Amino acid sequence: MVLINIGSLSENELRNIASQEDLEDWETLSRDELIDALEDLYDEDENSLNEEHSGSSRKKFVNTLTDVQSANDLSLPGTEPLPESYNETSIHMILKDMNWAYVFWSLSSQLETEFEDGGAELVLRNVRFDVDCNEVASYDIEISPSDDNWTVELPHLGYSYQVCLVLRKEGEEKVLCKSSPVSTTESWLSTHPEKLRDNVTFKKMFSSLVLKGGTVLENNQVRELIAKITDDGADAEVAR
Amino acid sequence: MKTSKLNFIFNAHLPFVRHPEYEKFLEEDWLYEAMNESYIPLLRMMYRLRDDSVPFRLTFSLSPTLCAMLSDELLNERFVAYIDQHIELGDKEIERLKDNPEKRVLAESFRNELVINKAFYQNECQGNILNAFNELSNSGCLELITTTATHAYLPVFKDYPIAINAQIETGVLEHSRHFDKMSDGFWLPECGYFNGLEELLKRHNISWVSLASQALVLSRDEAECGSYSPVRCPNGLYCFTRDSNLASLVWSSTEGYPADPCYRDFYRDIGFDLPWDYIRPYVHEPEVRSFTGFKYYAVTGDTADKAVYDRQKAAERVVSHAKNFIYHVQSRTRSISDYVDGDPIYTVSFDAELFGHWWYEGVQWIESLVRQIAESDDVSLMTPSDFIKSKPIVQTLNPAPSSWGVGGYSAVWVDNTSNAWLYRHIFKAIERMTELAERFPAQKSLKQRFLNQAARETLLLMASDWPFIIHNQTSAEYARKRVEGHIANLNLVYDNMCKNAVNTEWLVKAEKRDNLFKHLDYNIMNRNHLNEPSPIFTTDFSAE
Repeated sequence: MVLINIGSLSENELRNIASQEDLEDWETLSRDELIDALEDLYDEDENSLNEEHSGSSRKKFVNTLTDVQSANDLSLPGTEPLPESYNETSIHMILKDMNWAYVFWSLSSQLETEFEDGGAELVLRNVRFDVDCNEVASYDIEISPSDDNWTVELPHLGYSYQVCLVLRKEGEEKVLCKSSPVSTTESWLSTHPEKLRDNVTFKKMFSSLVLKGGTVLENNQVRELIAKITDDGADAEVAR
Repeated sequence: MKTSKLNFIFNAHLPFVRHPEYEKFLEEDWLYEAMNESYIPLLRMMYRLRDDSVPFRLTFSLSPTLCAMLSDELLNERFVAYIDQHIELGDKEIERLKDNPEKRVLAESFRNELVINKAFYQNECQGNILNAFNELSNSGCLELITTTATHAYLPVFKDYPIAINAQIETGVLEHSRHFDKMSDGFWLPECGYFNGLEELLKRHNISWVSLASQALVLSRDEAECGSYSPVRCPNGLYCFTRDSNLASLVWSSTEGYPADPCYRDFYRDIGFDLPWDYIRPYVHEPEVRSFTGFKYYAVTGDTADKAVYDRQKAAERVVSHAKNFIYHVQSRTRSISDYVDGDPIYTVSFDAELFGHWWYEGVQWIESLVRQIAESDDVSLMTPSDFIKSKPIVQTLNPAPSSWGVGGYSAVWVDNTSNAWLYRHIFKAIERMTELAERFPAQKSLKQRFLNQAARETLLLMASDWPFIIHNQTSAEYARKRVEGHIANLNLVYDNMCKNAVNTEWLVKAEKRDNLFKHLDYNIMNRNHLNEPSPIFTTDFSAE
């Protein structure tokens, strides 16, 4: 649930929302008390929808001040609850950014039973490959029967990663399924720090990324590049 | 002296929301609000510029789902009813405010805007807004482009090139059908790009895309030109990167122009301020208050004690903000001109609905900007295709995977605290649709229609809007139910086809409900389809 721009709302608007939400004693509360009570009710940062976005109008789909669509009463033709999983063994990996990926998997009911009956261990293995597809390193994450997704770290840029589900039983390992690999990229500038300290390069590359107010675009890789300059004591150069 | 070249791209998109089963539906208002507050005011503004012989070149991406809704008879009828109802509310407001001249003048002006918009819609648009966009395109003022069929955010579907191709191909074909010409450019939803995507785009003769700001800075290749010139992917696709600095002048909720205290406040709306009995006919049942567009206060600040909106003051501020924008462009050009070969190019892209709907004065701001640029010696407007036609020499490199979302890539659309669970089901649906297309190729008659409907449901399911809405928790339950509904529909076809059956009753209802992409051929989801030439080279659109 969200409540938008609460600080800007009139007392009337706040009372109408409080009434709609059946807030206790809403008729007698002051404006500040109404704001506090509604914030508690919605349990949300009031600015959650004002989150600065590096794109554009990010509050596109809003036509009420609260998410009041009477969802439980909303009936759309053909809707059915979704299954928790599908009876198959598979794994997928989606890049969230260059450092993190979301991984989810399914187990066939037969494997699920085997796993739940004990005696078998399941691990999520994240394997790193270089540009020539040679395995460089891997690490394992032990998972429990109730797990079906994980967010995995991709610790080094410029490599490909692939996750697989591995069943360990009686001292043996069996790879159950593998995801398609995902590739991360390392920027040319991060491997050429001397260019970062060059005023011309900096102006050509970064002036379009500095937002009004002086902050840099919200992006870890970009900010790491900037940090490389400042780490090297070139603060004055950046400021200029 | 160098000329600063401004490349404005507006992304007009709304998810396909059409509920004939309800007399009035809250989420359908997204369309009516955008039509009344953004699209028609933008078109009227561009007609004024054209009629005043002010030269301008702008780019608009019109998403296939939006085009489908703007061409839909039922939704157009409902839009007229929406306008009429709001005109009636305007009449009531003028009466209610008869002793408050300051607000009464505003109520009159809001009502007049509704009347003028309705007349423009019925006369110039002939009941379909796309007609007016097409006319401006034919007049040489606009470059119109398309995007993915349902505004799918493509990087998350990287493992399913057949689904990505279906999104691109449907987008390209729908554009040709609506505008009788090909789309040279392609709006990548959320500027989402991954290496390799360019191959699927070039397959459909796409010449250019717009990328997020960091796509060059984070490239694995050295970007010799910096951010002030487009580049080409190794396969020849032109890439125009967005200038976040200029964009932030316009869209920052705290520091951008729309946050100016004298502009109209978006949130203070009589839909939430007035007694229920008064406002009931103009909002939603059961007792859901919503925006009405009647807003009498200025932004003022983070306070309940807001100043009454002053149109004259806001209009003056618009002119100075347009001037300020040009000043920023000029001063940046001065600061980089020694390091950049040729004229610097600034690509600035926005959601079209920002202007007029979210930022009430935004349309006026564009008009003032265009008029001031027309009188400027050192700033001009261009479109990406204008640039490409000049046969420029640009650098070839591999842009970095990127998007304009928070964090710079897919974190908004793959958020494990809100929406990431969707992909388990969406991926399965894509796999099932591919299986259907490959097991039952070249079907005819009812089975063909049945499978075509399954393909429609799959494309609708892939829309970036559902994870985005769930992430933002606005109408989240609606988005969840839409996902459930499209999956259930696909599964119904899947189960029936596996039993060699067709549920005709369901089919007729589903075709009436999700009635977009009438020419969609389900074989688009057969992986062999990727070995065939793009249908843009073989389809005779005039024969349809």
